[in-house]
Amino acid sequence: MLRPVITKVFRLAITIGMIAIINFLVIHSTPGDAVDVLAGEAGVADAGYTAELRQKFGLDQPLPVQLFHYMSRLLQFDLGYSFRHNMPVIDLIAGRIGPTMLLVGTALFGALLLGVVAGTVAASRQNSLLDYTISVLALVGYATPMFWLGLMLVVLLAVGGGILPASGMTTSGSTATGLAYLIDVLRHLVLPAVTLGLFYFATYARLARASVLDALSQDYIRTARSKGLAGHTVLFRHALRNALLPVATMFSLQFGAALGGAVVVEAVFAWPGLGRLAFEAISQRDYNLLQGILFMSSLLVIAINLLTDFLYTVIDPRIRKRA
Amino acid sequence: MIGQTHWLHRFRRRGPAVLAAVILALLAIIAIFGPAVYGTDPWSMVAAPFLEPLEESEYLLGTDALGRDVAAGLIYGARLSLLIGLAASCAAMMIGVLLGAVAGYYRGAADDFLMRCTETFQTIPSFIFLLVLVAIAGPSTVTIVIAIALVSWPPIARLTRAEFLSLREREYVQACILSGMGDMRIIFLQILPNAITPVVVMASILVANAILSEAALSFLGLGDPNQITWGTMIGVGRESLRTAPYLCVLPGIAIFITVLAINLLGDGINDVLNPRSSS
Amino acid sequence: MARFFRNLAFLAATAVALTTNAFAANPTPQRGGTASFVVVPEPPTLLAQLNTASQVQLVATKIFDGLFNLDKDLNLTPGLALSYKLSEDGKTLSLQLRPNVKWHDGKPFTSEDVKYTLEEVIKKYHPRGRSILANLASVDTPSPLTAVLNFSAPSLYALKSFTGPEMPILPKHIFDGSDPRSNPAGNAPIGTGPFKFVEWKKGQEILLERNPDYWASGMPYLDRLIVRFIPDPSARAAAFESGEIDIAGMNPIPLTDLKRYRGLKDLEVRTDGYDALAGIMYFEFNTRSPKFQDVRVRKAIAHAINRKFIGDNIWFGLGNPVNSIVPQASKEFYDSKLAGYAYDKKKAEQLLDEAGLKKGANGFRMEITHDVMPFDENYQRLARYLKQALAEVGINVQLRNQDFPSWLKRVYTENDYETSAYIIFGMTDPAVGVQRMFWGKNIIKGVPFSNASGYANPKVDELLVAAGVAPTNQQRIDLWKQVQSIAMEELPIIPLANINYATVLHKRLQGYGSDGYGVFGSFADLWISK
Repeated sequence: MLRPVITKVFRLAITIGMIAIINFLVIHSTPGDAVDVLAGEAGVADAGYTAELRQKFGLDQPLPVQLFHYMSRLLQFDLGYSFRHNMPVIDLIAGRIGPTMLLVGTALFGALLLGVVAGTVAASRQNSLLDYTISVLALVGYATPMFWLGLMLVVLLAVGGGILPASGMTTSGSTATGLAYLIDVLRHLVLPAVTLGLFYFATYARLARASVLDALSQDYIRTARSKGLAGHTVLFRHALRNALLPVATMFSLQFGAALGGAVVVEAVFAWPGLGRLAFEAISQRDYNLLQGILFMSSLLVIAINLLTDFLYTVIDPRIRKRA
Repeated sequence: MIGQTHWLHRFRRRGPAVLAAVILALLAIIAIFGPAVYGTDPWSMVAAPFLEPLEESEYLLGTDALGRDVAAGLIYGARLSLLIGLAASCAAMMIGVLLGAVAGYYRGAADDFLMRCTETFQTIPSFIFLLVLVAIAGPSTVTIVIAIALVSWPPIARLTRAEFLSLREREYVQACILSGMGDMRIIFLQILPNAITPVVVMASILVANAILSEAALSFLGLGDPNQITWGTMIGVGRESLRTAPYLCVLPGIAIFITVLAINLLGDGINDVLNPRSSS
Repeated sequence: MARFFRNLAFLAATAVALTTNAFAANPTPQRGGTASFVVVPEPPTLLAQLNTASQVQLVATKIFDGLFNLDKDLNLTPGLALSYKLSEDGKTLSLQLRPNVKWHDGKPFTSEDVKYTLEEVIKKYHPRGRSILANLASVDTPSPLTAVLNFSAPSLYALKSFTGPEMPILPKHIFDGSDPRSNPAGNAPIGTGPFKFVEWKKGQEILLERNPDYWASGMPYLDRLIVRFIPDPSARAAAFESGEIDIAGMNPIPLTDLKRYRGLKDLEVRTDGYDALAGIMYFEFNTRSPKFQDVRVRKAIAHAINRKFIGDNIWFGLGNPVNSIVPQASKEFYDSKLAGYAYDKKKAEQLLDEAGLKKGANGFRMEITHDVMPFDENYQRLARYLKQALAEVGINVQLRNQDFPSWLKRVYTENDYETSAYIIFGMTDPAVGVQRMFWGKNIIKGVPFSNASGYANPKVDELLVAAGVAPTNQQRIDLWKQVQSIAMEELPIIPLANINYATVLHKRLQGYGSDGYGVFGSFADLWISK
């Protein structure tokens, strides 16, 4: 009973370690460093300044030594210090992870809910006009470049009509609190969440439709139907439950991708999230921050995967027996 | 009503894939011959800036902020976007098939190690990783292709591995092993031909993803500055989004149509290969 | 008693009393209102003492004060210092500080703050503090309102660096004994400036509010100043045109849009207020390359480039041709008599012929690479123009692209390039901004915007050193004119154009441009007409 758990934990540890090392090596092989950027932005800088900074940042050390320091810090759950922002990396991430999770979470869960409903409805009315409409919408969502959709929404809804705000997470200069604050954030959330979510909606709708169709053609459903169970009961209690498995797998696979997509969406809508922070960290060669963001988001993906594994056993009791 | 559904149903089965194939063929022709036939250099400032589409017959799709011909940009963009999409997915397929085949064929420690690698690469958010890779290597067409390939091979590797794991147990493969045939010959001449079809279908969808990735990179300013792609055009055009939205709309539609066509064709091929999944 | 030094910049013979330059504001300023100020990208810190990136200075100048300010003609005007005296040997600078100035936390501002800031922060952490204040030996504080700066050698060039954007004064009682870089006050600063820090919503905006105890009576006029970071250009444009933004500088919109913005009803485009930056665009040769050993090749390339075209069509009128390595904004030092290299393709071809570079079968005489400065789109357009212009005289230019840190590494650390072109800031004195590019001693790997071309001429070095310690400004000017003529003859760098920047502001915002700083000013005198 314990063995598989130990194996699993061991494997997880290896994956996490490899992530950290790959991140470190890849990030540190970028040409130029944070001091180049700081001094370059400064306009005029003298040699004493760059030398002092490189020493303080530890950039004058050989790469293996830096890797060793990085890994030993990680083992103590220390993500390091962003010299550019003069803040611990963990604080910077903590300040930005909320908006990103709000955006990604809203987009993914919204897409999951609407996608599964749409896909199920489409499957239950196969070849109806509704089915075609949903399928076409899914195809459109699948093929629309995310950033372009964002721009189009800005043109149509934000700039054109001034209906919804197109930039930021709160109204500029606003000091609102409580409900007013919540409403303000939600209004700002609509466009970015729709932009990020449409692609995933399309994925889930297609997948749910195919899986429900598949399930509906299975023998046990036919039996259930022949026993006179109501159509809705069969659809939602049996077919949908079956269809949720591939959807859940997809969900966990896509979480990482959605975090990446957030980079683009946050750039378009000036959303103060991790994606933008990561993008800035790349162009500023803020190694510790970038490593921290990549590492933390990888951990998030792993956590979501574990959660999905757990959900499997809830959705499908058969898996519990197998494990 | 029944007749209509029936017609739609039939079209649904074949029509889109055929249409997609035609569109892709047209795009390929534009990409290959378009620049030479159309002639106008997409970089040169040929007319007044911000000519709207249809405003002047010579520049049907208008001009951008610097008076460059949008139509010429779209044509050159077709060449580059398709090229990058194809090259990146071919490269991803090579990496994925190689690693997947080795893992699935040899199993054991090699499999364990390669699957940990695959998992690692799948866990790191791929677009952020892509940005880092392009930043390291500097944005050029070749580095963008390689970087996209480096973040998109894992699903291919997994699929190939699964195929190899099952095919390896087939009798004909076991027979080859017993007869002392070399591993390379078994992998490449015996198993791969039987495993390759679903892999190619998956890779064809990767073409669409690669085009989208390249567009997003260019949009963020990490495209190859020496080349015009649809993503670059959107990225540059968004600066005048309010006054000249067509500068963003047109290349966006080009990407949309291409990606849609590739997906539809992929679906079509999938239908033919796995008739059950779409009954 | 020390006698007081006089130079062109200062009018008086003995004590130089600085007077606020009364600006010609026709309507009476109105109090109140909130202004939105866009800064891109988001600053990493608000201490310009540690980080002189423009985005930091743009915000810090509203919160902190410098010892001096600069008027429109870049003359010194009072800031935290009311007047100053410079000894005859140029080694002692006595400052009379402004009385009754309070930090935002209510503590009084004194000479101790000046001493601490200069000795402990600027000289140790400022990106160029070590070099500008190289000769500053100590700061004495004979009284709370007197600070005496003792130099080991005259450092006239440093005078205009004691200003708000460059060396704002920090509160000693907050920072003393800590590493200023990790002091939390860097993200929530306390200054003496017209605006108090309220809140920094990271990734979104910084809120500043009026400092009611500001030393300039009645100022600031605004109640609140919101500093916003809008990274996306289309969102920025939308915010401008919908009237959400009051002011933004350093080219907040693409230059291709300048003309259209000039025609908009509610917005105004200004290009003044950038003289203290003194931007100048250089085309730089890596003089280590065997391709550029012959000065005739360098001169030919200079003749092949149409600098007026670059200023008018690539920088959309924000550039104008310059014939010296010193930007024209440095009025005293700029040598207007230099002839420069006129656009003349025939002359260029003739020089290349003389240098023995004959056209080959492919129509080209030589092939060079150009590393495109990756700062903005303008450099891409410039690179494409250079490629075309040099092809016309038979030089095939290969363009190479990389991102900003990679470009810095290639040019300044590895010197692995042949040519590049970029804007540098001449700053308030050529000794600060221009010298670094031509001084043989400043060929230092790993320092961005240092002497990357590898140019070293002992005569020039000698002149530069002499100018640095010359006790009078006239001597400095004479020495700098010699440097300019040698550099323009040897041409390790072709100066292309003086560069200005655009500020876009909403017409309701009044009072811009009363000093030499534009958007880098304190904004104390900005007001909104209702």
